[in-house]
Amino acid sequence: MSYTSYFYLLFFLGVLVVLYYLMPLKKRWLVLLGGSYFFYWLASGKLIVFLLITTVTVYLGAIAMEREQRAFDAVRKSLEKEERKAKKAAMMCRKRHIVLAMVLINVGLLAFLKYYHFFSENVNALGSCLRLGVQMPALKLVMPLGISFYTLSAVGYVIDVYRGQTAADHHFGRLALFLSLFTNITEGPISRYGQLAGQTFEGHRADYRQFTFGAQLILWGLFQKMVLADRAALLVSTVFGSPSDYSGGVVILAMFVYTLQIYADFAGCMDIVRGSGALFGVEIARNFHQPFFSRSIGEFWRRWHMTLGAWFKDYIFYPVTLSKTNMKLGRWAKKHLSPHLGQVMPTAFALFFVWLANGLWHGAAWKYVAYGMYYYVLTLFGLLFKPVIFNFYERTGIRKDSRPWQFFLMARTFILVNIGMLLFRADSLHIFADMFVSMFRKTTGQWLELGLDVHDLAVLAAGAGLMLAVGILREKGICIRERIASWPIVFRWTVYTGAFCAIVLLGAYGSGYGVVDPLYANF
Amino acid sequence: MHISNKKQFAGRALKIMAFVLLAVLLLEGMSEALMPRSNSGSGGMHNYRARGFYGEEKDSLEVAAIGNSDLASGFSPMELWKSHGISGFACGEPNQTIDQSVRLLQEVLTCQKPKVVILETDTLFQENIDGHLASLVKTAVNYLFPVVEYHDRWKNVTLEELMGKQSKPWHDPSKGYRYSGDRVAYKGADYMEETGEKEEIDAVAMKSLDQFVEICQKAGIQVMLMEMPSANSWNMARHQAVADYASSRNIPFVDFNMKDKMKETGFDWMTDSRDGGNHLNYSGAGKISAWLGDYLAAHYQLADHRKDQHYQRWQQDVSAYDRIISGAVQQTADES
Repeated sequence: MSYTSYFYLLFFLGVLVVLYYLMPLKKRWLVLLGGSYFFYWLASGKLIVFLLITTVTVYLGAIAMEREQRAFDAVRKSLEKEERKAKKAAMMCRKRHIVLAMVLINVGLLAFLKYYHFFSENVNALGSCLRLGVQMPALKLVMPLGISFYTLSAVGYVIDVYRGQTAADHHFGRLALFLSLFTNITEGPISRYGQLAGQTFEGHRADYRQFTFGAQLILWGLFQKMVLADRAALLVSTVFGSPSDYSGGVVILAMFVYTLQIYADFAGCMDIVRGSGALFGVEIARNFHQPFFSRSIGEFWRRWHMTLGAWFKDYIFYPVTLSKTNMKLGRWAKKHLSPHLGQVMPTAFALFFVWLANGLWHGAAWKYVAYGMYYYVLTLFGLLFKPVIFNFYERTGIRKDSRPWQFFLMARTFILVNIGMLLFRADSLHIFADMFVSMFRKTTGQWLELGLDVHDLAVLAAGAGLMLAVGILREKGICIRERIASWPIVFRWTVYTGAFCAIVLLGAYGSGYGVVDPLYANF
Repeated sequence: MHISNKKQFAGRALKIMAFVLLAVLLLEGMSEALMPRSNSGSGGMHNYRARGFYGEEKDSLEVAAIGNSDLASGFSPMELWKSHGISGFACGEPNQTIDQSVRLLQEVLTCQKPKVVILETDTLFQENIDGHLASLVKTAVNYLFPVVEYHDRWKNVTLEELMGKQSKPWHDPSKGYRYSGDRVAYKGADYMEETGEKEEIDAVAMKSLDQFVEICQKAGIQVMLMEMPSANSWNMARHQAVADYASSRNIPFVDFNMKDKMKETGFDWMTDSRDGGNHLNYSGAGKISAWLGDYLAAHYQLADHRKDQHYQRWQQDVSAYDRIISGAVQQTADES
């Protein structure tokens, strides 16, 4: 069920809102749970069994870990020091086994369903090269909706229980709701148990301001998705569909327009999702924070798909950084190479896994691995050349916080990100390389024969300008909805009805337009 | 649900309702502004070829056939005119779903009072990517607020159109028939093999079909179900489903895919298809239309209008039609 469909906006949300507020306060979570499972069933049918497997395994695994901990806590004070140490080690070992089992089962399921084809293709190719005569069978596998999202949420939950950061949830329904919430299941955000489970479970009283703000956010999300993203898709699919027919300025334009498409699509859907949550009094985590105002790649990935970056930081980067192997690496590098490398190498080692995971999470293909490695190399440059960059500032006297320099850094980061988007969108590494090189050649292709006429290009340009203006205001800390809410009713309603009319008139839907699935919905 | 401040609640509820009403009014206004002012393609009408009936004299059509592109390529109403003086129209939209058939029927009835309406039953099994229910909702919304369908017209709507000026309707001398002289034989397997199975008509599609029949019955129109020869979209299981429905509602059902009908019409997949089993060419349409003309003349009280002075334009249309089917001229659109 698409978040921009009539069924979702008018029927599903409408019925769910009415049922939610008619239910007694303490039972309102049942409406969300029922609605979420119904949503999932409509989208994935029998594949709901995978969601249930994940929910049941992490539910049982978390409780089992808690039992181990409680059993130890009950006897610890009565034990001698040595015996306490031994029992604790044994208990931690059992907990570790449980959490590993949970991670292996769930990540294993995800890996099998998402990566088997990629893995088997490459193994078979290698096997053919080496004449091993063994072939992995081709399997027809279907991915359940949102498996890449709910799996990370589930794994995050059990690791948090293992670390003692979260208590195990004994209420199966609450956990099931946390993992299946219809607002998050399709494209995220990747929710954390501590942030989401409690507030979805507790019933919320109707809050007019929150409700209307939610509806306004949905409107803004629909504008981004339907007017901008789906319109941009026409030009992007024309150029990327026949890359050898275009070069020069046309390829550069397509690259920028794709960046606009993916941002408007993903951020637009996130706004619809957050607005939907607000209708029920639930605050869904933000996934974007004006990413194109970033001054470095690191900052970009702290502002773009924030919940994914945070997940990788908490569940891959920190564990790898703090691992004994990594600490040893750091000590060795400091002793044998330099103090600077002694600091850099452990971080670089951990980041390798982060970016590998990031690339693979986005898709099962070598170009996604390259995508991750592209950002890894850029990040590595920044780490390795930190002293050089520091010297540069010292010698040139350039003030890092000066406005022109900030603009330069933003522009530089923007260009680097766009090159990453070109890689992300191109059908293969080979095609990316060809397209990248073609950008420096003479322009081929007619500007008005790229799938968009002059009116469409004007709408795209105006829309991009509007998104930039909104970004600037948000960057200054201005809450636009609150600002508009303070205006007289005539002006407020002009804005709201204007947005509504813009979506109806300018939306890229219906006859002459294809259906554009949300770009992140297939992960 | 606990309401702490009833006055405030009532005030806010009224605000929400007022906003919704305003949105509806805006949709109405935009629909009024952007609706095409003529049934022609250049005037912005979607699927204008199925809507050529707007260019006919009011209440002049005795037979209206509604369906998809199989209908438009397989049924030539001018053949009925030439043989029996029956005034008919083929309202065929590509990939038409049954809910769209209902909408098109409603459009026909705004300006015509046919005695017989024929439904081409492929539409019962035509589903868009989101399913029958989503299609029904989409068609309903498009019907209520045409701006949803015609929103792109903001790019080229003229000031005159915005002021409501109507354009002269487009007149189709071929009465909705799409001519093709191409010949690509169907050489595949027998797609009408007896299987003993019946394909269930989707519940939502069934509701739309019931609605179609009821609209006709309320208007005193006789309904007939028909299936054009179609090797790629028809089979015995579908035939059985429609036959059972027709039998339960006492509605005549003519399936040209059945072997007896193929024999009666002289239809031949080797010579009568333009694309290897999907659509018919003129040879196939001629055979089907000739059989249909005889059938309609024998079973329904349809007048022969060939000498009726109110139908003079039809005689002119015959000349234009004959030039098309003889290959003298290309079939064009938007001719007023």
